[in-house]
Amino acid sequence: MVSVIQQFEKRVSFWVERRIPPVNQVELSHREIFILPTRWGVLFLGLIGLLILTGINYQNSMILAVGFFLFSILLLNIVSAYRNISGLYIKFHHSEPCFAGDLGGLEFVVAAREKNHSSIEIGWVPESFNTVDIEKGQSVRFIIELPCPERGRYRPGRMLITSVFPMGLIRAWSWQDLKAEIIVYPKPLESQMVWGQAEGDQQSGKKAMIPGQEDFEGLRSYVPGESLNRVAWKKYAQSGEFYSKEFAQPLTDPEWIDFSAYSVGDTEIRLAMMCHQVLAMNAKRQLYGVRLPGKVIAPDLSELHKNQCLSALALYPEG
Amino acid sequence: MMGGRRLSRHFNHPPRVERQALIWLIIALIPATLGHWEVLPGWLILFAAAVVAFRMAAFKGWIPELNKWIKASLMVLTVLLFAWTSRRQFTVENAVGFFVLAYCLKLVELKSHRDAYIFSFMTLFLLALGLLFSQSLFRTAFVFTFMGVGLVSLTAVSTQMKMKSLVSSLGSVYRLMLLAVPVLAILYVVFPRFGPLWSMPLNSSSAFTGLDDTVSPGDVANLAQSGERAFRVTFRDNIPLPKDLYWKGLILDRYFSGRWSRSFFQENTERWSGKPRNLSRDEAFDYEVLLDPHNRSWGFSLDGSQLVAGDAYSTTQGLVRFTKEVKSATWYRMKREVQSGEQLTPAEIDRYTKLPQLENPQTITWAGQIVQSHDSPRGQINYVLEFLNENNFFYTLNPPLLPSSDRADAFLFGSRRGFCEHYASSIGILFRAMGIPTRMVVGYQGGEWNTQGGFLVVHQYDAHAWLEVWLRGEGWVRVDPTAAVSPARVESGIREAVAEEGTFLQNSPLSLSRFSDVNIVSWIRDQAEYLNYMWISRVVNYDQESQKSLLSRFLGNGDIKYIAMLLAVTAAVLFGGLGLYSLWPEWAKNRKQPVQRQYHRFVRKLAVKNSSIHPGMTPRQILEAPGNLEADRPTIRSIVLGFERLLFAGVSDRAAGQQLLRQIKRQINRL
Repeated sequence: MVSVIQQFEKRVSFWVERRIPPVNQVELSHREIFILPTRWGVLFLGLIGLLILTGINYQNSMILAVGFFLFSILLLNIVSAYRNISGLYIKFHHSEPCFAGDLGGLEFVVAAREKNHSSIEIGWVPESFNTVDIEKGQSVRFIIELPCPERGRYRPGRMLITSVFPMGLIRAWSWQDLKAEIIVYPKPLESQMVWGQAEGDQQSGKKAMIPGQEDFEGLRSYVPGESLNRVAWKKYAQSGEFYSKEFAQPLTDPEWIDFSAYSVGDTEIRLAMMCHQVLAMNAKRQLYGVRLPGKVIAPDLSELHKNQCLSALALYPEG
Repeated sequence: MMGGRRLSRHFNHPPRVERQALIWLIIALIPATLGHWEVLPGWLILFAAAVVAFRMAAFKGWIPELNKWIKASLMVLTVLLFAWTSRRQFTVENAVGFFVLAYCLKLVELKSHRDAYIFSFMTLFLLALGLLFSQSLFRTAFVFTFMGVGLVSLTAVSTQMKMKSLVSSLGSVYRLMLLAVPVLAILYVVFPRFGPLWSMPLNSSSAFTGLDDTVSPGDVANLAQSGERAFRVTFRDNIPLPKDLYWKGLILDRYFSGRWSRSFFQENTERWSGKPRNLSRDEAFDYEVLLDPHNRSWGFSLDGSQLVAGDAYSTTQGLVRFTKEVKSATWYRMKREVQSGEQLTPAEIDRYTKLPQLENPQTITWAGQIVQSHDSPRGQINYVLEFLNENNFFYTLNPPLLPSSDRADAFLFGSRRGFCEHYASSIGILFRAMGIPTRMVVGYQGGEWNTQGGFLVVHQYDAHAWLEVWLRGEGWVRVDPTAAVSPARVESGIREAVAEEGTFLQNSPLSLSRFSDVNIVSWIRDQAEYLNYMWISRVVNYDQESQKSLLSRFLGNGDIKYIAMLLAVTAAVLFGGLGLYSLWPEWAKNRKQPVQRQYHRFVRKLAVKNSSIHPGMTPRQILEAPGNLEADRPTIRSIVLGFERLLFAGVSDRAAGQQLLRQIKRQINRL
């Protein structure tokens, strides 16, 4: 039974894939729009049946007429639902990268060229949806937030564009693959783990720590295992919580964040640690470069550089 | 940077209904409830108002929501109260009342979206039920107007639009309703009509006015205070004079303890003497009656006419009877026939002259004197009528009270002031005492002419009682003692007859009928009456028969097969029309841009085969796109070149361009 349903779903999605190929932008037309009554539409039909039955049994012409009237309203709802969604222009505009496990924002542009579009819901079932009303000639940019659990290039795939306007009785919808994607950085993993500039031994980690010890820069949450010398005892006396003193290291030689320098953990953990390191370096205004197998990003320090590095981590081993 | 609005929301509706939706539900509740105000107990209307006030206050945050125990006890309490006030009768009115109660209680506990949808549907149903008790033009307009509000409340529930856009969507809902009218009209005409599928156990409690089958003092006078309409009549030709418009409804042949009623024999005659009813509207007829619902099973007819069409039958005595109570406006057609005099058996003569002994001794003595002084029954009757005319009898709607016994004596030899019922009753007793077979007839007399519509309107205040006497060789003959006293009553109606005393509709000071003398009022009344008449007779009374005759005009035969065919054709036209209506803008646009249209087809066709192709690519890009099938390449190349010529190079003349486009089209078809 389950396999029959699965097979059916597979066939449907295959059919949809062929009928509505992925596009960069789309103006919805009858090829891509599907229409079915909602469950309230079905119940409305039941109401019409009840009215017609009442009209017949009480020989009451006008109640019969109300039944016919609501039936024609239901028919016109099909047309209205279709017209409300057809001609809607939609395009994937932009996405802002996020870290794995966070919500990623995908920005879309919808525009109404010839008519108003009311209560259009756009998004992915069942995660997140956005409702927009667009007036004729307007265009609206809006963001749909999606949870992005895994590192990499996340393609949410077919999105649903739907509306039950005007009366919630008929649902018109379309599935569109607008080639939306979002780059998901690894989730930063703070490490006390050792990493060396070269093939350092694990015990020498403390010395090799990049967070400097000379210039006090600020406080951050104490991480168990850190040297007790760095605990901000005064702060502890005030708040009862452990904080570590952070010291900035003066700009010196560029640091290399090197994949091969991590000797433990699988690829994902290493990338997560590297991600944390990139952010730390960036925060400390230290020149840094990234070395991945098959890819080297030369040391630099800028927002753009940071994004490049993180993207490289996100897309590894894609390149 | 991202400039868009960041609003995230779940696909499924939030469990709680929004505020603006709640406001619309409450707005829609008001007409849905008020539409039934005539049949609702007063406390229920107050309860509805309280529920609305409570919901509004809770909505404003002035008072907290009720907890479930209070809600439950409120429900139990109101249901018990309802059971008590409705006296546990299963009438339609009580069913509707109970529905209203459930509907109001639903508003009290309304929380979720589901509730809101169900509440909206209840609103629509309740509005429609308002038509159960009246299908007049006004009521229908009321129901359909507020259907719009009910539908907007559905919009409010289903779409979370802002209040402002909901108000403007009221306009678009009414536009939609106008568009629905043609579909509604077609369905109304072609939907097959048939009788009730099962009998409805719910009866209507008698909230109707009309004549009853017993006449005791004061009944007709009460009706005379009602400006309601009893029935309407259209004549084909030969409109009778007002003094001949005696609309017979009931024959009362039994006089007992001060009241006239139907005997067992009379009831049997009416019940069993019916001819098979004839539903055809094709028969020739003289007049058509459109009877207002009066919840009784009798109709009204002129002397000597037979029913030729309608869901009713004529009795041998020329009365119109229905098989069940008339609960909605009903029509029937009558034809006048010359009658031969009826013969009575001695037993019947005995029955029609029967009087209780020892009642009205003075009248009986006087009857003996008349019989002795005049030979023929004709002469005796004429003597009595002249006596009435000449001896200070008055026609009045405000007669003095008569004693409970020997009323005829008290009236004929005492007060001498009364209306039709007094005259018919006491003279009937006198005639019977004289040995003349006599029966009382009640019905209506006269009517008001609607000049606009050319039909006669008979009102409740036209109710009248008169006598029929049986004369050997002539049969039953009408004798109206009231006419002898007040000729104005039968010639120009009750309004004229009581003009001096000013008692016409004295209990309803605002009734339009009172102001018929004012020209503009009477004109408006005429127009409204006319519109309503056309509405009821042409639209509301469109039934199986009218459908058959209308459809047979187009199809030649009212066969069910043809009706089914017609339905199928209608459905095809409806859906075709709707499809055309929805797709037309796209087609029209496409037609204007034939080249673009073909290009879209081309790209779409290729995109299915080759995922690297998408709309927005130029012809050249498509040609060079990776992944095109080897077999298609020559065709694609030729098509692309063709498009480039059409789009960029410019084709010199129109015809050549069209030719090239046709060629491209064929090539695309082959892809």
